[in-house]
Amino acid sequence: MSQSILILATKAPYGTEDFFAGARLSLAMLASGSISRSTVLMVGDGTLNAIASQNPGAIAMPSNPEAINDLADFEGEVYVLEEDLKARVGDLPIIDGVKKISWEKARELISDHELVTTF
Amino acid sequence: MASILFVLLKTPHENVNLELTTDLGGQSKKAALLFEDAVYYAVDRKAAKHLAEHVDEIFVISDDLAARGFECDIGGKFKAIDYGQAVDLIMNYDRTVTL
Amino acid sequence: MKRTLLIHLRSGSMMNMDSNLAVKLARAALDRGHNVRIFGYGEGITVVKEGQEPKRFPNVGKELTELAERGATIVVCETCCAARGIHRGEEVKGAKVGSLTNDLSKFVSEADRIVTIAR
Repeated sequence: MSQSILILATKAPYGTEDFFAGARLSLAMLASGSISRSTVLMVGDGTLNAIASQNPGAIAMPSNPEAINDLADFEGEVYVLEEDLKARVGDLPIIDGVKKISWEKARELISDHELVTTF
Repeated sequence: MASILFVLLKTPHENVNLELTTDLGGQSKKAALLFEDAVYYAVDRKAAKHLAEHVDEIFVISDDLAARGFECDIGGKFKAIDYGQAVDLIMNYDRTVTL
Repeated sequence: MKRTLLIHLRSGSMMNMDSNLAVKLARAALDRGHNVRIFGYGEGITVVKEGQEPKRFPNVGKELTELAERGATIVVCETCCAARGIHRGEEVKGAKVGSLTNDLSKFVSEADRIVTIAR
């Protein structure tokens, strides 16, 4: 029996649909009302989904920033591993509501959620 | 701290970030469960050493290893298991994380 | 102790051996006396399409029906099915086209463990 799930986002945006699919899964868990906590954690290349200046309209793809914003409507938590994002693109502005965290906090999230699924 | 069973499916030369096992697992008990092409970690010496540095235990599906032409008599941290034992591991570890 | 295993499958029926892995794990979990839930998402929905006739490879559709007969619950994402031209009524016996919000959230709430099978 579980009441919480962590969505571990590991893939860069738009090369695959994985991040969008993971965000939608998280949204559905929150909207269902039967799962109390569904959280997105971006690590590795997944951190690139936090970049504020994404313009998916340029390739006519669904918007990952919008998918993140939709989570905010249900008070869904979204975290990005700061060290991994910095290593890839430096200090770019990130989407409002996404929180930068350390590995220590990421490990706490793993412990605090009963299930973890990877995208 | 929650113990973590990391599930691997790809060969050691495909894009898998093994550092994640340490970054996400920290000081927790950690193991790797190797299915499909990930069983090549058991026979690629450099990859085996690298993986063994990251986790406490490594479990390899014996059928997948045999299918690829290798003996199941493997040593060190590596242990050959069947699917029933894989299910037991999944149930015994607190978290299962696919990389 | 009887527990519930949720298998989150996102690889297609023939794109690699992932669907076979899902079947083998599910079978082993049932053999051990556990409950099994399988949720197909993204390409993972293709495993439930009726009429699969692989000449040499295992018939995942038939294997899923066998798992369902042994008590496994198998559901795939309706939105993902629609995107791929698969509709309700085209599932193999024992599987169902359903939703993230209604079905996966229930599976998550019932699950003691989750295994994600995806690339």
